[in-house]
This record gives sequence, structure tokens and C-alpha cells, in this order.
Amino acid sequence: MAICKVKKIDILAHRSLLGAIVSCLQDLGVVEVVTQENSSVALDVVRSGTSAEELERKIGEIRYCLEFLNRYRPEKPTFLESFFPQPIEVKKEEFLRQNFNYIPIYRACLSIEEQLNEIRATINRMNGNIEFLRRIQEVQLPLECLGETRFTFSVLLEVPREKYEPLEGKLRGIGKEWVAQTFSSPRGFFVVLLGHKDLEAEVRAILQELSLMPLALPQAFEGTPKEAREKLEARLQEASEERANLLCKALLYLRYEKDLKVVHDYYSTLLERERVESAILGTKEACLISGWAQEELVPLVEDSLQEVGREWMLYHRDPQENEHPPIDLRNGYWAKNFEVLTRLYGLPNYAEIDPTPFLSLFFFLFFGMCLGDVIYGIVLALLGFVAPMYLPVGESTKRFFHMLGWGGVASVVVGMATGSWLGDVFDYLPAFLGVVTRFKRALTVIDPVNNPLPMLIFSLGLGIGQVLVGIALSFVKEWRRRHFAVAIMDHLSWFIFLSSIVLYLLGMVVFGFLRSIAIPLVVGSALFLVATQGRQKKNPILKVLSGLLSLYGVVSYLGDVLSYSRLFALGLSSSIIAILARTLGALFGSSPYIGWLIGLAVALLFNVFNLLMSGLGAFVHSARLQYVEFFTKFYENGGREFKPFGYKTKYVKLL
Amino acid sequence: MLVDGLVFALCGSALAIGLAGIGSAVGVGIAGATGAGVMTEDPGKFGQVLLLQALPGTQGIYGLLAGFWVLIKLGLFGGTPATVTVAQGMQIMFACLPIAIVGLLSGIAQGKTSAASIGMIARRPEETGKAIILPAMVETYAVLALLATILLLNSIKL
Amino acid sequence: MKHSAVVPSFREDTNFAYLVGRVRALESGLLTQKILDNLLRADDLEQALRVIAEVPYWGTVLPSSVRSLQAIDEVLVNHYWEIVEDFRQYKVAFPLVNFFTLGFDFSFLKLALKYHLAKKDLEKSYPTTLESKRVLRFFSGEGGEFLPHHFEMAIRETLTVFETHAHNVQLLELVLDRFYLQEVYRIATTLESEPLRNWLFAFVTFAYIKAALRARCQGKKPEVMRFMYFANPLISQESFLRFMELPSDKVSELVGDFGFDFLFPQGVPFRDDSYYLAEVEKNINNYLMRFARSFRAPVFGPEPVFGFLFAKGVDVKNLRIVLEGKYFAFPQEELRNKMRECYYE
Repeated sequence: MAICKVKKIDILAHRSLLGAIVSCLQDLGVVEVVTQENSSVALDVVRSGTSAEELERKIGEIRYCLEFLNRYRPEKPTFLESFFPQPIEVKKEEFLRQNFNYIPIYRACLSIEEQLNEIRATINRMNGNIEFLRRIQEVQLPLECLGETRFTFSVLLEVPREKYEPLEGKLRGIGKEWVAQTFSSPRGFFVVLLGHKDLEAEVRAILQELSLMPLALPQAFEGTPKEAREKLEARLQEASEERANLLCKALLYLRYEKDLKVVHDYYSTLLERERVESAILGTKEACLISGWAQEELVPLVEDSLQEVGREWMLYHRDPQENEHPPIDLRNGYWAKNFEVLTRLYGLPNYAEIDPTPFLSLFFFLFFGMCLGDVIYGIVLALLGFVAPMYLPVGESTKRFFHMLGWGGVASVVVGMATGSWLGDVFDYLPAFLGVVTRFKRALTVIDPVNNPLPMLIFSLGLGIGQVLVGIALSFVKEWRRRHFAVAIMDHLSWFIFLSSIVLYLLGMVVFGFLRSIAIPLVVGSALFLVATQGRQKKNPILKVLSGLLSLYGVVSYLGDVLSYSRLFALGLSSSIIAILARTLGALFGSSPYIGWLIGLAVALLFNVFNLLMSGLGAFVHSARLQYVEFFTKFYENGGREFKPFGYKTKYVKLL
Repeated sequence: MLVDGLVFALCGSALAIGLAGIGSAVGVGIAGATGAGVMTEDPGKFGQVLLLQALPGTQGIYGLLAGFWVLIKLGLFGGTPATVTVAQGMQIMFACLPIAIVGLLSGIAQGKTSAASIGMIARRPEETGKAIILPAMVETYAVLALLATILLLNSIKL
Repeated sequence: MKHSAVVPSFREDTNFAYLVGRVRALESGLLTQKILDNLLRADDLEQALRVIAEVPYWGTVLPSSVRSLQAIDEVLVNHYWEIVEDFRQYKVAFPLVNFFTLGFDFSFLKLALKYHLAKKDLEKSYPTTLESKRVLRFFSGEGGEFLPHHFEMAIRETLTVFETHAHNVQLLELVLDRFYLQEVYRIATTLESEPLRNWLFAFVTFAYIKAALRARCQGKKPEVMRFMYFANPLISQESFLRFMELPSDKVSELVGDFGFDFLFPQGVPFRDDSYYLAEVEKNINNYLMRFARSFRAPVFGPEPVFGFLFAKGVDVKNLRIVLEGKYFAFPQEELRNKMRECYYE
């Protein structure tokens, strides 16, 4: 039984024990606490979740600090580190006594960020001003001269060459109470015009007429544009230094990163506890904690609670029909590596069979057939089994690697049987390695490159096998649920019908005697199907018709089986690409001088590419066969993952 | 002889490699464009996006494989080239057509599905597994076409 | 674009592949009802801002240092504008993004014209595709300045109307609104995607109904509202004016004739007041949103991009309502009532 049996447990306790019991359960980490549904007694929520928001705020603040520090971290984590971060190891007691005060760091981060923002804004503004001053740097007048006095006004103009003459002419026309100083500019001239206030309106009218816009200074400057610019540049330099200083200051806080991470996890653990507590119902004196626990761990829960006190009772019972217990998959050493495939599709519901053990065998075989090469298999197996030893990966990642590793092992086996060792490279070994070639040839059973049919038939045979297993599982499932009629009429009958067809086909090819056994079975089961498949219809004619029509279902089974031909095609494709790599390598290798090096590189490149693409193809297509051809026969899924209440950590590994 | 059977055989090989390659190129291109869009916003999805972008690339490989098989069959790689009659050459060419045509069209279709799947993981990164299965469904037909081409080629006696 | 026979029309629908990819990633940063609920539950502005920071992509948009209401408003508008402007760079998306930039452009024009007529200078820069200096020079009748045709027409006409109708500032807005809707209608007719076209038609139609109801509320005369109308097959001038001329108890009948019953709140008789108007506006927005939700499904094509941009706009609107509400500590239920529906439920 691969779906772990769970019990519904209810702990009825005195209110005074609530805190201790919750701590105890969190420490155990084996009970999933749920909200009590449809209870007939009026119960109130024991705790209102007010401090949950407080905790969320704290976690948010710590996360802000971590993100802030990450942004300014000088050395970025390497590719591997970002995928598999090294967890921080902390003793459980220390973790629970966590009282690191992150608030000063949070405040510091906030203030640094604010200052950085300000500096950024200042720098942008200064850059804009410098740009402006550079544009008018030919103006050799102190800029503070521009402006108004009681009797005068002044404007700074950039006058294109062709407008200079008209401007001068027009200004002459209005009077003499003005002076202009002219400097050259890239497009013509800069003109600083100083005039009496009485003339201002007329001057502006002239400017408008010539569509000349006075240049407005973005702010007040001192000195000539050049001086002002130099001053600004010095200030800019200062601002950049200040910025660098601030960044250094921010980096100082990096040494608290570890503490921040630990305290982050500490608060998430508290939050988790808070969430659980808000699901607990009770009265003034008592409280009721309900949840799910694995059957064999219920005594452990009871034992642990003994230490808390004596004012509690624990009831446990099997799940009822209408309940949806959480699913915890339990598989053996080998099959558990393939659980990820079941999870990918969706967990089984509590009332069905865990498909993992069956799937693991088929996936193993299929993956091997799709990759189907000894050397590729060895590479993959090494990667799958060795890499998790050196990488700080979690349990699920490790299992995934192991699954690939087992796929590699299968590939080695299939490769040996089909004689594919990096394609046909081993046939072209130098003479002194002849033993290896002979060894390889001795192991070869089928050579699909030269004689593809047997391999194709073998693939289809595997397909028939898996489809039949699927139907059989479906029969077992229904039988267990005591739906005997359905089990026999819909599943067993099909199983016999299909397997007797297979027997008949076998009989046609090899074992002649099977034919005589198979014929009555085929006819009998077909008649049985015709008789039973229309049982839902009321009209007797429709009954027979839909019974007959149901035999058409054989076509869909045929389609399923043909789909397994991909195993052969993919396996062949990976060995042929390997042959191609060898051929091209040899082609390049035959050129003089460093030709052998180029040849080797080409061959290596092709092989790596082939391993990647064929590996991906092998995974995807083997998985697809499970999902589309196998699962559709019996699998219902819809289960919910068992999530026990425990310590919720992201960065920390508890010892 | 003006027209040698070899011409047809090579034409078949070229069609298989070329058309299936075009299909994959277009497919990978479409998926890549979507992937680039996703990564503009979320560069952390590189791994998943690359995986999904690679999926429509297999048609090109199948085409190459079929084309290469023809070349081996003709003995053009080492050994003595086989003499091919016009009838045999045309047989080889037709045998190449399944993977050529299906590779072209399924590559493009798979590219679109991959692009859609990339869009899916952009919103639901936890569903990467399912997102990979969907484009793989399209590939079935390319695999079947490859199978047909291989079996057809295998049945032609030179 | 024409294509060779080998690759028939594979390109057109995948033109948007890149943008759709971006949109899919950005969609995870859209608000959902759940986030809105959390926002509403927040005790104060600070808590609300923290909730926002948890949503993907929002953390950097609204840094925790932003505190004042004005700053938040500016940040939100600029954030939306940046996205719209960014999408505008892509040639394929240009026509549909135009719809969104038009909204910005015309509100800028309204503001700029008002300032111009009041002889004041614009204080700061506003999000718009128009160059404000050029627009200002154009206002002052300087020859040789070039603006896109529809803006030129709009400004000329507005200024003429303003001169000939006793400097009525109300008219200014109405005329500009007319050009806005006319341009939206024109964009709609150029779009190839039928759903988008229908959406934009709905938008224009509802804009007229909304305007008519608002005119009733504010007691504007139908003769004045005429300046807002351009000849279009969606809603005739006659019925547009009828919306304003009818007595209150007949309005819902007229809306019913159009088949737009869903715009009016259930079971409440029509009233000429701002509460009712706000309800109708909300219903219009929600209807357009529900319409836009169908744009999520396509994998290729312009719809997802359009839907996202619209949804982002609604998000910004929702956020402004919530954050402003939290700033002034409005009661939660009152705010909840004002919320627009979200793109993803």
C-alpha cells in the first residue's frame, strides 16, 4: 500500500494546555491540523489572528532587508549556488530561542535607500545642469548678472546665424537703451541682452516675431558657465563619493545576513503556528484540535503529549467516506525516486491505488529504450547518483537526480542489448582494443539500425503490456470499492478480450496451439461485452446496439499501443545521431595537421548535444506515455498533499 | 545517363533535412520570441524557458536523421556508393516525404504550443511539468512520421 | 504582409509572440480580488503599502519610502505610463497601444489648453506622447509646428469654438472629448481583431451614455452636450440627446431599449444623482472588464496585450481608490463598494 494510511485525530484539551500542545505538535511535525467542519456543538475560534498580521509585517520587513542587501552585494552567487543555496545549519533549541533584533538593520536599510534615492535625484539634476552649462559655455559672463534690477532686464538668447542681422536691425529700431554682448555658439551666437525695463515689452514682441525663445536658467548659478560647471562637477564628484560611501555602509550590514535569514525563518515558523492556532476551536474552558496523522505515528503523538500534562484526550478514527484525507506517498527505496512523476500529474485520491510502483518500472524501461546508449547511460547515471552527493540539494531534488540516474542505468542495459555504444564507435576501435569490440558484439541481441522490425515489435509489446496492466489496475480498484459489476463487466471483460486477441496474434506467429485456446476466449468475451456494455440503456435494441458499438473501443486501445512505437523511434534516433557524430568526426579528422583535434571537437559537440536533446526527449516521452496511455485507464487523481504542521524554514536547516 | 536515380535519392534526403529543419527553426523561433518576452520581465525563468524552447527542435533532428540514413544507405559515407536506378531513387525520395512534411508543419505547431506553455509557466511556474507535456503531444506525430520514413527506407532494397 | 506559399500566414499571428510572453509574465503582477481584500483589510496606509510590496513587480514600483498621497499618485500614474510607453515602441502593438496613449494625450491637451487660456505656464511635465513645448507653440499660433493630424484638428476646432462661444471653458472639454472618442472610433475601425474592435465600440458607446448621465446630474444643457457628439453608427445624435431630455423615470426604459439594463444597479429606480452615476460608471467598467477577460485566452494575437494594458489601468485606478481611502481612513465597506473588478478573479 503506497498511499499512507491516515487517521483523523481529535485532541480535546483544557485551555491552559493549548500553547504547550501546539508547541509539541509543531515540534513533532507529523500532524496536519485542520479546521473543524460541520460540528454540531457551537464552538468559537480560540484565538483571533491579530498577531498574524504583526508577524507578516515583521517577515515583510526582514525580506525587505534581505532584498536590499542582495541588490548591493558585491559578489553575486554563482550559477550553482543560486540554484542550490547552502542552507544555514542551526540547532533547534537555539532556533527557538531566537531573539535577534533586526529592527535597527531595517531602519538603517530604509534610511540608506532613502538617501540613495535622494542622491540619485541630485545626480540626475546636476547632470542636466552640467549639460546645459556645457551648451552655453561660450558665454563669458558671470551668470549672476542675468536677471532683473529695478530698471533693467536681461535675457540670454541663442540666435541662429541667419536671424542675427534681423534681430540687430529690429532692436536698433526701438531705441538705444540696451546693450548686447555676443558670443559665438555652434549654431550662431549667444546674445546677452541687457535693456531698460521700458523696452521689455517691445523686445519680447521682437523675440516672438523672430520666434526666439530666451534660454531660461534651470537654477541660479554663480560665475561664468565654465566656472559654474566646474563647481558642479566637483559637487557631482562629491555626490558620487557619498553614494559610494553609502553603498559601503550598506555592505557592512551584509554580515548580519545570516542572522536575518534565521530570524526570517523563526518568524515564519511563528506565523505558521499562529495560522494553526486560528483554526482551533473551543469553549471557555476547553479546546479542540483536529487533524490528520499517519496511522503508525498516532501512538507517538500520544506519547509526546504525555509530557505536556494530563488534561487532554486523544480520539482517533479512520477517515469516513465523505472526507478527503491528505495524501502522503510511501514508496520503497527504488520507487520513491519516481514519485515526482505522479506528483507532476496530480496526487492520487485516498480511495485509489498509488500508481508509482507500476509507473516506476515502466518509466525505467521506457527511458532506457528512448536513450538506449551505453555511454550516454553511464554519463547520466554518474550525474544522477554522484551530483546529489556534492550539491546541498533537498530531498525531492535528490530523488529527481536519482530518477535520472536510474534512467541512465536502464539506458546502459538497453544500449548493451542493442549494441549502441556511442552509436557504432566501438566498431571502429583500433585493433589492439579488439577485445572490447568483440565484447560489445557478444552482448548485442538486436541491432535496430540494420534490422528495425524486432525492436519495433518489442516496443509495441511493451505498450500492450502497459495497457493491460492499466486495465487490470482499474479492475482491482473497482473490486476493492466493492463495485463488482463494474469491475467485471467494464474492466475484467476488456482485459480478457484484449489479452485473448494478443494470444491469438501470438498463436499466428509462433505458438500455434494458442490459437485454439484464444478463439473461444475472444468470441466469449466479445459476446459478454456486447451483452453488458449497453446495460445503462432502457430500450433493448439500443442495449444491443451500444453493446456492439462498444467493441469499437478496440480501436482506441490499438491507437494507444501504436503510440508506443515512439520508444523505438527515439531510441533509434539517439543512436543514429551518435553514428552521425562519429562519421562527421571522422570526416573532419581525416584533414591534415590538427584535423584530429577538430574531428574530436565536432564529435564531442554532437554527442553532448545529442545527450541533452535525447535525454530531454526520453524524459518527456516516457512521461507522456505514463500520463496519456497508462493513467487514462485507471487513474483518477485529485488528492491533496499531506502537509504536517511543523517548522517552516526557507534558509535554515534544523539540527 | 542524364538523370541518375541518385538525384532523386539526394533530393529526398535534402527535403527531409531542409523542410523538417525549417519547421523546427520556425517553431523554436516562435517559442524563443515568447520566451524572450517572459525573460524581459523575469530573467529567473531562463532554465524553464530554455527547456520549452528546445522542444520544437526535435523535428530538425529527425529530419537530419532521416536524411543521414539515406546517405548511409547510398553508401556515400565511406565504402562504395551504391548504384541507384531512377525507380529506386524516387522510392527513396517518397520515403523521405513523411518526415519532411510532418516535420515542417508539426515543428511550427509545436513551436506555438511551446510558446503558449512558456506563457503558462510565466504565470504558474509550479506547473512546469504539465507545460512540458503539452508540446510533447504535438511531437508524437513527428515521431510517427520519422517511424514511417525509417520503415519505408528500410523496405527499399538497393 | 504577404508570405511565400511554404510558410502560409504563420507570421501574422505570432507577431505578438514576444509581447504576449512579456504580458504573461507581467500578469503575475496584476492585482486579484484576494489582494484587494487584503488591501481593504489593512489598518492604515503603511500596511496597505506593505501588502502591495508583496505582489510581484510592485515592490520596486512603490518603495516603502513613498509616503505622501501626491507622491503615490504620481508614482502610480507614471508606472502605468511607463508600461504603456514601453509597449508603444513595438510596431505591431502600436495601433492598440495608441488607444491607451490617447487617453493620456487628451488629458494633457485639456490641461495645457486650460493653462494656456488662463495665460499660465505648465508647472511640471505630464505623461504624454506629445512634446509639450511644441504643443504650447502650436497654441500660440506659431506656423510650421507639426502635430499629428487629429491633435491639430482638435486644437484648432477647440480654439475656434472657444472664441466663437463666449470663452466657455466647458465647451473646451466637450470638444476635446469628441475628438478623443472620434479617434478611438477610428482606431477601432482600423484594428483587425474583431473582439478588440467590438470592445472599443462598446467603450465609445458607453462613454456617450456616461457623459449624458453626467450631464443630467450636473444640469448641463443638451445643446451644449451636442459639441461632444460626432456622427457615428453606434449611437445616433438623436438618442444621445434623448438621454438628457427625457424625464428621470423614462431613462431606464431608453437604456433598456439599447439592451444595456446591466448598467443600472438592480432594483434601484433611476435617479439623477452622483451616487447613481458612480454605480453606473462602476458597472460600465466592470462590463468592459468582463469583456476584456475573454482576451486572456488567446495565445497569439493582440488581445492579451490589450487586455493586460486595460487591466493595468483598472489596477492603478483601484489602487488609487484604496490608498487614498486608507490615507483618509475611510471605512472598509465604503471602499469595497467602489472597487472595480479585477482581470484575474
